Amino acid sequence: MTTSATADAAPSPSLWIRLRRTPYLRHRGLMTGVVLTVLFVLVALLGPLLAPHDPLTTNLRNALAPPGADYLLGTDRFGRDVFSRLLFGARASLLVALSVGAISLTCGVIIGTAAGFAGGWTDRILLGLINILLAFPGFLLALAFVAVRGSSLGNVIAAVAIAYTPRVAIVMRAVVMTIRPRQFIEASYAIGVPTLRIVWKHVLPNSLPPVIVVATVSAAFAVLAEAGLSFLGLGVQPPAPTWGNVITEGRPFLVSHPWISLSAGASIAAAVTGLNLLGDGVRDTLDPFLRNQTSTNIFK
Amino acid sequence: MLRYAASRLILVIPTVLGMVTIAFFTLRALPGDPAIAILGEFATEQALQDLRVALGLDQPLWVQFGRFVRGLVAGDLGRSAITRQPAMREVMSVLPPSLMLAGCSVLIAILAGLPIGMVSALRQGSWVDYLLMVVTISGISFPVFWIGLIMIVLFAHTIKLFPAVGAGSPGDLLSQAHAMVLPAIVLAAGGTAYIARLTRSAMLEILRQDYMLVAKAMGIRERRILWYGLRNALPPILGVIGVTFAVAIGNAILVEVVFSRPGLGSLIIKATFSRDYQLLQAGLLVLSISVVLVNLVLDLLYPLVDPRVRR
Amino acid sequence: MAFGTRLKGLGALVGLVLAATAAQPPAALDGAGGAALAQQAPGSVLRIRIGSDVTSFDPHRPSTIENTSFSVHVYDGLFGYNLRTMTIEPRLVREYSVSEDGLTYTFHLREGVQFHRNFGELTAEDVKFSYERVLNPATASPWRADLRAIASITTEGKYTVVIRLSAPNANFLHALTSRNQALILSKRAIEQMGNDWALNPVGTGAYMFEAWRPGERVVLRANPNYFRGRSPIDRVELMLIPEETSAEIALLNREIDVFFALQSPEIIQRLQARSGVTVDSRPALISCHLVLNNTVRPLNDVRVRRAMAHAVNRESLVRDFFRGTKVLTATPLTPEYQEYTTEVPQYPYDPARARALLAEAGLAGGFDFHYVTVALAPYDQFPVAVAEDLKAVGIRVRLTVMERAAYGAARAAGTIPSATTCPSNSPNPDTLLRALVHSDGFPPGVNTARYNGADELLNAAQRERDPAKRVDLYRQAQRQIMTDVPLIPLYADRLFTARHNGVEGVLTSAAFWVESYGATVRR
Repeated sequence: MTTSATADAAPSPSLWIRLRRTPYLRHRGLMTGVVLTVLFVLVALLGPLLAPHDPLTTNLRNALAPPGADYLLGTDRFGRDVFSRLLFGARASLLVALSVGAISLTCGVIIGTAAGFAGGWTDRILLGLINILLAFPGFLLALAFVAVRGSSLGNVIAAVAIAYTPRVAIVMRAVVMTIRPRQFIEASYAIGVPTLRIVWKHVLPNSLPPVIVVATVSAAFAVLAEAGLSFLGLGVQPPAPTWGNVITEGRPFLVSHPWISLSAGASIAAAVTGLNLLGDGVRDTLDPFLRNQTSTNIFK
Repeated sequence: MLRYAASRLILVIPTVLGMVTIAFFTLRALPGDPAIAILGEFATEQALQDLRVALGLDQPLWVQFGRFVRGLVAGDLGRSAITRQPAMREVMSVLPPSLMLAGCSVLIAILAGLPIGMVSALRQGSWVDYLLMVVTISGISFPVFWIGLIMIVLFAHTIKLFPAVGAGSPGDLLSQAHAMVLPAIVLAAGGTAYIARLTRSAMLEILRQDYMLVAKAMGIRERRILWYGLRNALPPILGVIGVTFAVAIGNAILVEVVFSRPGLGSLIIKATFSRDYQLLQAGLLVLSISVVLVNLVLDLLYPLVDPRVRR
Repeated sequence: MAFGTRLKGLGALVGLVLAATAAQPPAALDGAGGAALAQQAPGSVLRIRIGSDVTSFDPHRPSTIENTSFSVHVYDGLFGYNLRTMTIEPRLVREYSVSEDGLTYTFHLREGVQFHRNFGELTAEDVKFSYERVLNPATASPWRADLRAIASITTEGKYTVVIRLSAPNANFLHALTSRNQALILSKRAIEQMGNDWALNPVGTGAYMFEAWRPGERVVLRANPNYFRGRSPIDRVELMLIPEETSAEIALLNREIDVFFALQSPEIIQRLQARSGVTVDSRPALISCHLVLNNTVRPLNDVRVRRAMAHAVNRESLVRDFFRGTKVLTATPLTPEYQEYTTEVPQYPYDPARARALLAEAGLAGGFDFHYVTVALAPYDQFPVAVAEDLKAVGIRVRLTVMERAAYGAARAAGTIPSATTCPSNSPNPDTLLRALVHSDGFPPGVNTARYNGADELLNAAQRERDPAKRVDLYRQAQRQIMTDVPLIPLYADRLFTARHNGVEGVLTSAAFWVESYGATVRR
């Protein structure tokens, strides 16, 4: 438990130094997460260059072709290339994941820090609000939002971000609460460093790892929520290629042409697994408790 | 103990009030015109105006809110636009099957998640741990509706073990239980993964504690130590059952659609597609409040597993 | 095939009914079933899949094919179609006569017909009440126009109803037979129960309403006192299963007995290949159209509309997308109508001709077209293929899929630039054409083209009492319509119903509903 003791005594080393010191390269989960996430991002960015066919052009003569050289994952009922649709679909998913991650991170950090630092009534009110938002089932809130405000990519992003910002905020607040009483913060106050500067220099760097983990999880959830809304017909409207739409369009052919829905489901799972493993891995490698625990498992 | 229960009970009131307020303002007061969202881009100005009047959107926001709260206190959330029945009555009539489904799935998630998490913790780093963690990470990474579709093909089509649709015959409990198996398992996938992962880390944390090392050194039997460990790991696990339930309620919508089951999910989808505003609002509120109440029950159970709270 | 019979002309039809009335005692008048009802073990259940929930038990209010399927189980009309031959046959009426001038109809009701749940005997008052309820604007019945010919309804004694028309109307018996306006409700039940009636429907039909489990099923029980004889099946359950793949599996597992209104061509083909399952199909009186708003530029130019008609590859749509489960039609009517004709201007698939016509209209560079359709299978699917065809000749298509309620509102407002409209119809050609291409059907009706070029021909046809001349007038009207192409007919529908081989005698209507009176089931 030596690490926690030192962390309490002095400002922690920067995120980068800690990352370099950790055996993150040996963490299989983290590496898998990084590889999957990088792949996800690359596919989304380069998809249009890689796609062998136009994702929208129909060719009824060629409908429901099996996977082959021309069509890697076959064609759907309109004769559109499923592989190309998945490549293009990655863009919508990445856009949703990034936007939700960024929005929930930014808003959550601001709200959480404000609550944690201000204390008193501000804290109580903000905490109450956060807890109320947390009480809503996330997907239900997103669904109701999209139902009333119309189904578009922007509304899907807004809906999921609203559901996930409080999750980041509550973690941020907790982190601030633990950092604030530490000696170096008290010392900074004592010598008259402005609050914003303290937040920027000391609180943010220390709180980022757990908050990033939560933001990663919310990005992962966003990919699933987008797919779920598309499945219900409330996401990005067809014929736009999104992974959720491809699953839905493949649903009547699950028995006879299963590769359509299977490949889209697998794409979603790969992206979400990547984000989840990335989040887990970051937490594992940056959290001194978990890093050392292997040696103390008494049943080994 | 009583003071604890009382404080929890009292906390529910502002939470529910807050939820109602947030639900109201999220659905109504954000920029943009719900009337256009409901009627679409081709609606005439007259139709939009009529709808605004019908929904009370032409009134100042605070008047709308006052009217809404007054109705709510009287248990009146307006009438469904399609069936003309009180929205509250419609929602309550389909609430039981949804709560039943979510409840069953949480039960499965606990019964499956606890042992998986414990085995993983005890065999940390082994291939068993690795395999179980891969399985559980899939549980939270695959879309729940997609798992449902695959399960139907596998267990209702290829192997005809379970029915593909519906909730069993009215009045026939056996067929209802039979029809519950697949959807409950599908819905439990996420919760199982969640609880298993939490159990694993909670157990690892406890196994590292000095008193466990001491117990081990004193030669106390492994099974007994394990029991202590589990007892100590329970409070945080109980803490996430509420979250598991909330997630299950949200996902139940998708699962009900996949399995053509009656319930709030189908009702909310129907309300959404027919733009039945009052019904949608009632459904959202009733489901969310049921999540709060389940959390309250869990909070009240908390002292039973965590002696520290009892004081 | 038994369903291949053409619709009978109205003249022949009236004669047929009268002859039957004169020749046979009333008890033998039943169409399908009657004395021929099969035996069935007690406690039998027939489960029929429906694709969306029953939304109302009130037949006179806006309705879906599911609502109508419910209504025909629970209610009766004075007449009904024999679903095997699509001819009109008497139900609640014992006999009737028409005055020389064609203005007065006298109906003598069957005696002793009982409403469900002890709401008493059917009387002339109930008939008068029901028709007047449809005609009352407060009911907001979409079928009000069908009974518009009625000038007055009087009762003579307990069992006689006299209806006077404002003008001779050759289609009047159809109006008392087809669709929901024809169904008779219990005056006493509605007056006694008030608002609660809507959830406790009372009729005279073969089945009584038992329970509605929203989002899951509607349960009906055989009416022991049914005047045509008790149904052999004790219970009918209308099971809601929106997704066709699930319904397919449920049928193969015998969780359901009848899979009503299959749409997916692939599932139809798969089920046809299965042993133990039979797929019945029949032509339906539904045609699907891309309706163009003729009042907006450039769609107000007939050359542009003709160019679009030439651009759409309808053969490929029917053959490759629908896999032959639909049929081509050259006019707004379906080939099933006796009045249908192919001697109209035709628009074969010809992209070059389409481009030439566009160039002629000064639109060589194409134009922006907003293609609007509804989020309901298959109407949210095939437009994707149609839109691609239009894009191929340079038309820049924006495809909007609207949710059902918003779509209905937009279409009723008439502001919609284009629409995918597939009206389900009665065997009366007037109903379809009047709704789709007559000024009577202007929004809030479905004539969002706002086309009125065939009004006079259609009005003349309705007045005409000579069947041959009537048919000729309807054919002239179709020629006029297809010269002007206010809409592009895409296909005519067929109704597919699958059942496992233990089910016999379930009937479907060409107007898309399902009846189970007289059916039997073995598991």
